[in-house]
Amino acid sequence: MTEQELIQGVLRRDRNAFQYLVNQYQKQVIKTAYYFLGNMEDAEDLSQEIFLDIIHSMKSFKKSSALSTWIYRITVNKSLNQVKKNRRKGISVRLESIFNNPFEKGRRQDAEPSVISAEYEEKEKRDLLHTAINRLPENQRIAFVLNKFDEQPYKQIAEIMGVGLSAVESLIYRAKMNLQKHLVHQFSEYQNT
Amino acid sequence: MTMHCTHFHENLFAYHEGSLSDEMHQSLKDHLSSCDACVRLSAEFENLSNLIDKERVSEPSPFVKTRILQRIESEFEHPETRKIPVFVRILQPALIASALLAGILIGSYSAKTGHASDDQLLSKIDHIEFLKTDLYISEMMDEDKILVLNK
Repeated sequence: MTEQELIQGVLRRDRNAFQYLVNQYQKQVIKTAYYFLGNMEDAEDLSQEIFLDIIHSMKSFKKSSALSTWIYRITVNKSLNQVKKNRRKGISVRLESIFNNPFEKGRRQDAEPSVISAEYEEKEKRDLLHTAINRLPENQRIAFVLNKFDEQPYKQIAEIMGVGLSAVESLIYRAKMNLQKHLVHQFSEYQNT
Repeated sequence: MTMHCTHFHENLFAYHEGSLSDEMHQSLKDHLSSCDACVRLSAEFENLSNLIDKERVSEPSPFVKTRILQRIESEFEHPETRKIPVFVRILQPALIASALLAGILIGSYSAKTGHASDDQLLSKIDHIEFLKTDLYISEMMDEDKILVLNK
């Protein structure tokens, strides 16, 4: 199925086109959402909303960029909104996933204390990393996450964000400087405790 | 913390990414050989970089595709279950409530203004009584006629 056929199929509300769309883009959507949210369950739940959004707004797709770029934009926007909602609700997403995930619970009962401690430490570090990333200004965060986590080249990030290449370079550089500052501060606090 | 430490802190990313000049890289490496605090910091930073690599290889659940497709199907099979906009959700019950309130007010107002005065009521009762008496007399007269005929 070509991109054009896929678009037409989605506009006709054709079931095969929906299946093809999900097959082609589910990994891209879920992984990108996960990099922003830091929680796979949340990313999977959000992916349903993202696909519905893609289908509902397909008629507004202008074809000035590749379909995957447009889908990236929707995914990034939805993910950032979700991060804001979570922050507003004051939900500690990661803690919830540790204590409510039955798989995690089961594993914790069977696991050796040293394993639990290592897992806990890793989760703590991941939390620290995501907190630091979420403190970045939005544009820096988008550019950094797409580059470092999603391994997108600068050109693709520029297209997704609708900015020039030099702007992407600058955003990523500033994101690294800010993260560096924050992490050095956090680590020195961590080492003092 | 020395000036070298600050210099190392400022170049953490670049040091770990290997994007510094050879000269600068060597100078920071020399500093690490004599500063335990920066060695620990460097190790922690290395751990975080490894975490990013780990996050990259995380895979979604194999059932997620089915869940997404089910959600899409239910959306298009039952379009009425689509999300109702917030303002409609607020406006709808508000309109129903105000319609009910208006009904109650109109009802109580008409009940108040609909009461006839006492004089009017009395004259209506008189009129009914008159009609009843009239009916009674005419029935009596009919009965008389029947009696005469029977005779």
